[in-house]
Amino acid sequence: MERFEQIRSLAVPLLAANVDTDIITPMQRLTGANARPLADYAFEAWRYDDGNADSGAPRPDFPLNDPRYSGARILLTGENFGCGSSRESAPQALHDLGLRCLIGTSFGDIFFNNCFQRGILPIVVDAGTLDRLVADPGPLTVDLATTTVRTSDGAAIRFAVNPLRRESLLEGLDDIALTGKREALIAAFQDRDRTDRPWVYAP
Amino acid sequence: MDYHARMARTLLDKTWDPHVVTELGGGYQLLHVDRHLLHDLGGPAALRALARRGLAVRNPELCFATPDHCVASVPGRREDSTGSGGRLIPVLRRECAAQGIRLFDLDSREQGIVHVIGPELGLTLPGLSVVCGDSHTCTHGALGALAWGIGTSEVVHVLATQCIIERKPQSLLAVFDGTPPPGVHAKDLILRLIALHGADLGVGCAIEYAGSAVRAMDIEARMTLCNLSIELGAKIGQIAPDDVTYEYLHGRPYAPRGPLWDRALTHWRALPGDADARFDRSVRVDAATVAPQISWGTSPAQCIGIDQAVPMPEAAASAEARAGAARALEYMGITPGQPLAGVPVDYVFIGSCSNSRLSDLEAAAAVIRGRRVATGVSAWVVPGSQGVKRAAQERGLHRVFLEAGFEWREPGCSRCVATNEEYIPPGKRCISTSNRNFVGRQGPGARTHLASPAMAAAAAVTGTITDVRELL
Repeated sequence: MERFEQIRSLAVPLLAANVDTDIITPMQRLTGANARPLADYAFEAWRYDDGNADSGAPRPDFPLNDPRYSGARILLTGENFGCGSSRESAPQALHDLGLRCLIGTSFGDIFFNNCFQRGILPIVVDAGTLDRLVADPGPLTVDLATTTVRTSDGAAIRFAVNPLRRESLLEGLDDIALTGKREALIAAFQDRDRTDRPWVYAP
Repeated sequence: MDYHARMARTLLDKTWDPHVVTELGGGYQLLHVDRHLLHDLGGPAALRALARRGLAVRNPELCFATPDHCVASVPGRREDSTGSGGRLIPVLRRECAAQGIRLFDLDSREQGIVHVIGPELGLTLPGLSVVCGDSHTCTHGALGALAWGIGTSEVVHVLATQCIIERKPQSLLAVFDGTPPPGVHAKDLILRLIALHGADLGVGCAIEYAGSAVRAMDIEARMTLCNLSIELGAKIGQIAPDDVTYEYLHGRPYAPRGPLWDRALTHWRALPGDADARFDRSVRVDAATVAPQISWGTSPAQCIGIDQAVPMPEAAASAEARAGAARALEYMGITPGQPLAGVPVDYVFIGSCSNSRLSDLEAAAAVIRGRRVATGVSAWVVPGSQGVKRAAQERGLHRVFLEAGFEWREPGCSRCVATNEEYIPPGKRCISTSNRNFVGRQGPGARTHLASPAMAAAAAVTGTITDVRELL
């Protein structure tokens, strides 16, 4: 996984509530042979005329189609963004669109974890802060090292991120490598647990 | 004894804490996984990723796999009856064989939707940690397990380490008191809770369902309740185990037997939360006041009683919510301010990990018996597993459905996930016992109305969305 660098970019507002991962990456684009890269199908039902990336023209009213936001790396999101299915294709497609940071009031729990696996930083802020960022003409600067979002007028907004996840993103570390170092602890746990709960290990 | 050990503990505490292998800092913990379930959609990619890294499955004896997402449900199906199945199922079979993972293959007696067969086979037990690369893994919490859905990278992590990195969620108590009226089922209760509190009520939480209405439910109804926890935003939904749970599990093929059963039972009886345990949040629904539910929009929270009118978008609280409601109404082709009863349906789907178990099929058959599927309606029953299918056939339920004009099909996810070439055409309307009415979920442009099996059966025989209570 790549290291997470400081980001300076305009922020794209996509503030609908309960944006689900089926909308982000529709199932029929996950198992079939696609004519185009996955990112082209992201938000397909909303992003193209007739809801089809293969035949429809990009809808000018969909924020990610707005030429102003070309190359944007930050997405401002509505409540419960990424709810629904556990598909990791959703953060992958956002990553492929060039996005590296999501800022919203809440995220689907499974999606939230998946973001870190795909090098995307989800930041939870209160509604007032989100409103302020939506109103900001940009660009915003997201600095994970100092856990701050800097607004276009230079004000700094601190955000919370779990230290473990912060370290992993900054170093581009992988969970498996991290856990691999704890193999002795896992073995000891299972030895003890086999005595305490033997039925667990004899299915 | 330290302070924490003396504190009253919830079911979540008692099922979470014993799985902690070590603290990782910042609230993250390394948790042991007791059961890892794999399926044909996510399993092949994860197993191949593991092999590419030169890693082996750490505890293959704790992993179980079955094809469900990509399989066709047509009678006489083969793995290549769908393009995705033809590509993915051979990979799943090969990788499971190479890694020593038990596979309930397409032609086996055990095959079925992973969340139906886990409990049915006794793989899921109270107090076990259960993960699967599918968000509806919360279903298994109905037995008092700690179960949640994970992403593909996490699946690879669990395969390699038999552990997962997680933070303990907050606790949310959802109480259903009272007796649901006739025609009102577990599906209606949980849809009502989502409609009342929103699709984000449980974000960051594990839900424990309790109350007299939950205690009165059989295990299959409890699974329906827990299944929709993720539609409330909660990865985990749980119900404290009781005698109903133990009776359900006793004698299941992979449940412990003899002295091991007795030992397990002693352990399980200590799992229910202490009477004075505190929850971070709680909500309450009076089951006696709930009507049969039907969704009108593209979120499970956009749901009403069959006797109510579709809300006007102007009534929504914020500009964003008003725009969202208007978008959903346009997609669904529904007029606000009117009831949904009488709206014609094109398709009826009875199946999915929400509602494809024997009691679901019995509830639908009770409505259908002696009636016929309305002209122009395509109605399917897709049993959740080979076990459900056999049990239903032993009771003659398949004849009830077939004689009424339903298709009686083979187990799988079918029209819920639509990755198996079984989808609803654009603009067509389906009443479905599944759990997601998202835009495009049942196929591009498909219009989904979520409901109970009884409500789906009522729509099948009348050809329109119907209050099932009129047919009882």
